[in-house]
Amino acid sequence: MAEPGRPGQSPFRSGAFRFALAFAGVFAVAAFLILGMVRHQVGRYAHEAMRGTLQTETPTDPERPERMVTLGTRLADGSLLVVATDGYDVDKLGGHMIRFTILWAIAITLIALIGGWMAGRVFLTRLAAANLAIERIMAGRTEQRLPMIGLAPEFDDLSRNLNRMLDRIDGLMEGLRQVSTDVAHDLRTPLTRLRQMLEAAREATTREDADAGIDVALAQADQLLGTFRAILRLAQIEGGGRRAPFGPVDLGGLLATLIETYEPVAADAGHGLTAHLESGAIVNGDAELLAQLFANLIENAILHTPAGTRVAIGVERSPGHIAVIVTDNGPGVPTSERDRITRRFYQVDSSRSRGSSGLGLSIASAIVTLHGAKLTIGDAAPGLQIRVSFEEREGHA
Amino acid sequence: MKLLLLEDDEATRAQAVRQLTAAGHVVEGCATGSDALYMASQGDYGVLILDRMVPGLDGLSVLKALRAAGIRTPALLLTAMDGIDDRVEGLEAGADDYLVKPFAAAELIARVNALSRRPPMSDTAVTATVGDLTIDRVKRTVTRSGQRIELQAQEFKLLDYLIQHSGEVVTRTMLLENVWSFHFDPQTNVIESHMSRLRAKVDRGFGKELIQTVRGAGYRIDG
Repeated sequence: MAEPGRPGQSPFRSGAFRFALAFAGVFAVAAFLILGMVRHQVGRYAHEAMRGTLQTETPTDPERPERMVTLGTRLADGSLLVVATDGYDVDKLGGHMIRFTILWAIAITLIALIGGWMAGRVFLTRLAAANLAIERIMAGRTEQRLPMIGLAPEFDDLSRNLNRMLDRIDGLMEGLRQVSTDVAHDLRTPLTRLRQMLEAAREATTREDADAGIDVALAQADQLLGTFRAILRLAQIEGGGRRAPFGPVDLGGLLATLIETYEPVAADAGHGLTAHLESGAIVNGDAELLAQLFANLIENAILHTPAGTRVAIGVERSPGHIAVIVTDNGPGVPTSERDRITRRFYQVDSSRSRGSSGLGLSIASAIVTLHGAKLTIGDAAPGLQIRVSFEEREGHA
Repeated sequence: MKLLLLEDDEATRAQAVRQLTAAGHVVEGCATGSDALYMASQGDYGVLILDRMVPGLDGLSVLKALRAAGIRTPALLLTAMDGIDDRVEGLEAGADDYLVKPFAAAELIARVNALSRRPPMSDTAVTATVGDLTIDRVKRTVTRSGQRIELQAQEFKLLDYLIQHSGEVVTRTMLLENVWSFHFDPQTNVIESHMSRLRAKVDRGFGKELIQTVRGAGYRIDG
């Protein structure tokens, strides 16, 4: 366990000592306040006691002159009446109480000093452990987490929140690493092909061969640019800094247009595309982005399933919620892979021959997040079911 | 046609000037926004091509200033940014079209051509004819050689857009943006699928094919 405070420091400058001083200081002040109160109150208590059965003692030591409190008045017949009393018992009681209070004040202050020092030491030792963990994290051991500080639930909450923050940062860093690796990996293949095609075009003997090579090279360049555009678009949607405010979007109408757009595409790919739509399904959103979201989901279903697969789009309404469900009866995605399919460049089948950028579902997922909706990937048994549930726009219930 | 090109990168400007000149245009290039503003307000240009991001006075500000001064020359905004907001901002500033860099030469030429004849009367006319094909935009009917052709809504829109630009190349991106309002790249053959259906209905069995594929560029309808 690490020593609280910094190495080479005088113990009187340590955090624990400061804690102890603060504790003791508070107790000392409190003790002196009590002392003052006692002094003030003791006379009254003594008087009250004397009115009762308290016995009076009068010392008759000639060596020690007594101080008497006297009160005199002249009576009607001219004689003088003097009443005198000594303060002996009152003084004695007061003296006792003051000595008693001072003693206890000192004792309490001492106990507070020790207690404060111990409490401070315990607390600072735990803080030091947390600090040590932070230093290790900063030194590069990013898997390290803070220990619980203890002593109070609030301190543990602090540790937990800091740990959650570290988890989040770790996740982001991991994502960044993943993206850099994926981008590099994903662009290498088309770049290699581009280079090969250009080389082939230069070595071509006929004009036709050269042109053919250049055409393929241009197509590869376009594919690369398309991937870059998709990456930029994804970053932009994930960044969320949009100027245009959301407005009401009729999902039924939007989906009907998309079905009309993709029906011939699906037919050409040997797929069936059907829809069960409802009118009046209004959500709050950006029509252009929502169109891209569902276009991506439909394209995903067409691109990643074999010919003969049926793709169905449905709208499901429950009070306050609208869900759009894209289902196919293709081979589906294994449960273990489902969390990963919205990741950038992720492909269930590693062959990339179908020209998809591998970013469609990532972009879809980012658009869903931007709209505060929820994307769930499920099993259509057989096939894949992607469900996007929105909150219904208020005032259109 | 005389074109003004604002582009600060010299290599890009020279390349674009060469391509547009080869397409039969006269191009005057400039590198700064203030030059563009001066030239556009003095000269008689068919289309302004403005790079959005140039040092100093940028393309967007030039366009705003020109529009504020009442100069309504069609403008094509070039940009390296492909944000939805960027596009909306550009169109709000008075741009007639918006092209994201990098682009193919064919794309730039097709868009300049499309802009240079805007707004042609045929766009708003009720009927338009290409060869023996006639469309009625109000009744939404298509006839060829007197024979009625049934088209679906998107096929009609596609044919209408081609006819609005008859004799000119329209690119895939132009079709995606103007017929489908797609401002992203679809991963599937959306255009090819619709185009083959449209051709099957419009061109099959009529002898002459009106819709042509222009290799490496797009499509063109010709009478």
